[in-house]
Amino acid sequence: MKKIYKEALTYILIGLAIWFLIFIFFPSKGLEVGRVAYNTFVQAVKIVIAVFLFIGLLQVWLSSETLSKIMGKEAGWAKYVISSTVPIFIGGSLFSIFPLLSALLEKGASLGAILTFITAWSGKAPLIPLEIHFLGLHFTILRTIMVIPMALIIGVVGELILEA
Amino acid sequence: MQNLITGLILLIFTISLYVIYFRKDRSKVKKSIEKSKKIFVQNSVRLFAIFLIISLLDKFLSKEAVGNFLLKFSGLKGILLGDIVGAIMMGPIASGYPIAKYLFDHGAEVGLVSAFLLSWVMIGIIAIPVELKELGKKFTITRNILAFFSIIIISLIMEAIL
Repeated sequence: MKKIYKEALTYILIGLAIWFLIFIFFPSKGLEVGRVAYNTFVQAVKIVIAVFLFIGLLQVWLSSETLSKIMGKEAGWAKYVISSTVPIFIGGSLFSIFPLLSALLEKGASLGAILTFITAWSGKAPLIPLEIHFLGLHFTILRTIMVIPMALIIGVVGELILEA
Repeated sequence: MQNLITGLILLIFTISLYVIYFRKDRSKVKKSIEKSKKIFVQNSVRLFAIFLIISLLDKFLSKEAVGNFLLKFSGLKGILLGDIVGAIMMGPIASGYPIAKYLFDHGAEVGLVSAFLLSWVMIGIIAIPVELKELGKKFTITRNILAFFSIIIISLIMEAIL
């Protein structure tokens, strides 16, 4: 735990140092940057906490055997069905999804399922209303639907490459 | 706003899972919280530093600057550049939609815009260190390369359909 806090502290210091430099060279932008960083963080923090709490739950409750049955190698096509659809509805950023993936991998999910999972996750269903507002119905629907075959192809091909 | 609501739903969902399991087995729930706490401390500070960098870029790369750069290209070259620029862009995808709209309003092709948006979500140059640490070198390289090329293919298909 001590090592973790130390690493965390390093990140804070690097971040603050960069911010400090910006303040010296562009004082007005410095304030603006702080505001945007704060807003991004506040927006993301709930998803981050939820995902991490969820990971903790997964690690203790879900047995490796169960997960292997759902997303493991022996699961066959079932794993692709689940991992190409469910993640579309999870929000968050790449940074909150990677720890979840590594927790799933540790529990025995197959590489193909993980690859499919993260690709499908980029479907971003929670943001669809916003996307329609900006980019129109046709574009949004087509883009969201295209994510599913893309996830399947990346999963199957990626597993072949990684297992070779 | 959208993010806030999704976050809230996810949070409520997870907390109710905790409540359900708390009734079944207290010691296991305690263990879950221990584990979550560790991961949270490990990642949240790193996240904050990264968010700071993201907002820096957000301020220095204006919507018009990125848009005008991309508008110079079309066809396959446009898709390729949309793919690359999208990988460099970071921050929530919600801030990508206005840029995409700006591109459409100024006559950009569907392929370029979809490549830009897809690679914004799927490939993050700034996220690569995190990905390397969590999932390993081989996985990271394979995933990013596959994503890069499948984005090009999908953009071509979308260009053909729309």
